[in-house]
Amino acid sequence: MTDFNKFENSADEDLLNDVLHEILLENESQAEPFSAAQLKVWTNKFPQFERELINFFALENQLSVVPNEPQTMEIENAAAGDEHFAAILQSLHQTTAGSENQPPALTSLTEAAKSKNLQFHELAARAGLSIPLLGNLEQRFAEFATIPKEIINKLAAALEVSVAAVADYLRQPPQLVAGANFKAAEQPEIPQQKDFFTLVRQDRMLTPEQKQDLLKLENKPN
Amino acid sequence: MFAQPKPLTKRYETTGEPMRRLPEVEEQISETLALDKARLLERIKIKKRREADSLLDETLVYLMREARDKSDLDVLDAAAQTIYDRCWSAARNKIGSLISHRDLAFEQADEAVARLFLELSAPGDKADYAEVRFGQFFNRIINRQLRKAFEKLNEQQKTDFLDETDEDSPPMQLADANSISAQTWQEINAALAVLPSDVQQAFILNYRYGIKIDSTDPNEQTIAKLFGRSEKTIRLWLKKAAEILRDWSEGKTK
Repeated sequence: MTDFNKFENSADEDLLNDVLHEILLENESQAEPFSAAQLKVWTNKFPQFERELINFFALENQLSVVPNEPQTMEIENAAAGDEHFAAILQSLHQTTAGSENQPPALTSLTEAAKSKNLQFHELAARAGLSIPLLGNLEQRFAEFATIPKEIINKLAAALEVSVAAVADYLRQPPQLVAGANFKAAEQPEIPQQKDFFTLVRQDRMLTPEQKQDLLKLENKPN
Repeated sequence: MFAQPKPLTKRYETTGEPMRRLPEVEEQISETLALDKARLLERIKIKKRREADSLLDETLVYLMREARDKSDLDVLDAAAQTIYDRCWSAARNKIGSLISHRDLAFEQADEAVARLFLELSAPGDKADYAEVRFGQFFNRIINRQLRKAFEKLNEQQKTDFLDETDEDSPPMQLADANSISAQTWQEINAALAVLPSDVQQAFILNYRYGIKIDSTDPNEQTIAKLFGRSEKTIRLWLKKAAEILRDWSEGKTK
């Protein structure tokens, strides 16, 4: 997975980026990609970036053979994109106003509950869920897009964490419970994620009232 | 009367002029500020740029940055998702069309997109240019990532075969670089694409940009210094590229 935090911008790099933007803007209206005269002008203006500018011009030349809107290449593994995006979004949430004082990302709902002296069944009750249904969320077996916002809000309130922290946890790929002991010789495969409401319908531990309340959320815009 | 978007505060390095969004971007941002949230989210979620009611990339960037400052996760997530979807496949296409090593191309494309979001979420006005020309903002990042990809690739690619070139054959005569049209430059770049990236770039730097192969002046930037290779090696590279162009030129005139 991409390490989102590994890029550190120095003041020099910021200035270089600004210069490159201005070169690109200058060239916007010209028919010819990048001329030798332009390279000379810019390297004279910013001699400290001579090497970077030469490299940039050479690569822009190579890029000029690529159409601006190329034919869409077949993307074989869209799920990889989902995981990548989830990591990016998590980092974006950490840049939101007021997030600098937030605790680190959730690693488990169970652990988060324990840290608030909450039993797993108590957390389930506060969120209006059964233990197995909360277990499904813990292991991220529910498709994130189908989980009602009300449930995420309730979990966040019970755990006393931000909504974004719970959302970021639930958005990640499914996982088996950490540290579980499996009797079979081989570790079982991680099941496919399901629609949250399919899991509600299949759940036998929810009371009829709980089930009804949850299913009412199905047609509500998320 | 629509609400006005916040003005950009960043100034151009060379002129000191403040950056300005395009009029159509200003107009669209004002329009979106007047929408109710449900409708705004609907419009943000339109991924295809050509679809009716879709938002411009620059508008999405404005909305995303504003949502970040206001901690509006609904708008932040939706805008980020659309920008991501638009850029992810574009990055893979663009880098993939120049890097034949598919895994490396995709890895670099993913990093390009991650870097895009890192820069977009930078504090202050650092990312203002993304609201001026988003395409160029992203292309600059792609360019940087391509350079990294080529560096990695060049470590793996063998350029030894070039050492077998006949050193004693006379240098080829090429047309004056200044007289070559933009279209022909594109064709030349395409013809050179069979060569390792270092060799292509060395040739373009020498032929198009007039960068010297080597120099006795230790302060002068040269191709040999840029690539950390000997003058002899660079000459062999240039010769090989010129040969490719000769074959290409002959094929064209047949």
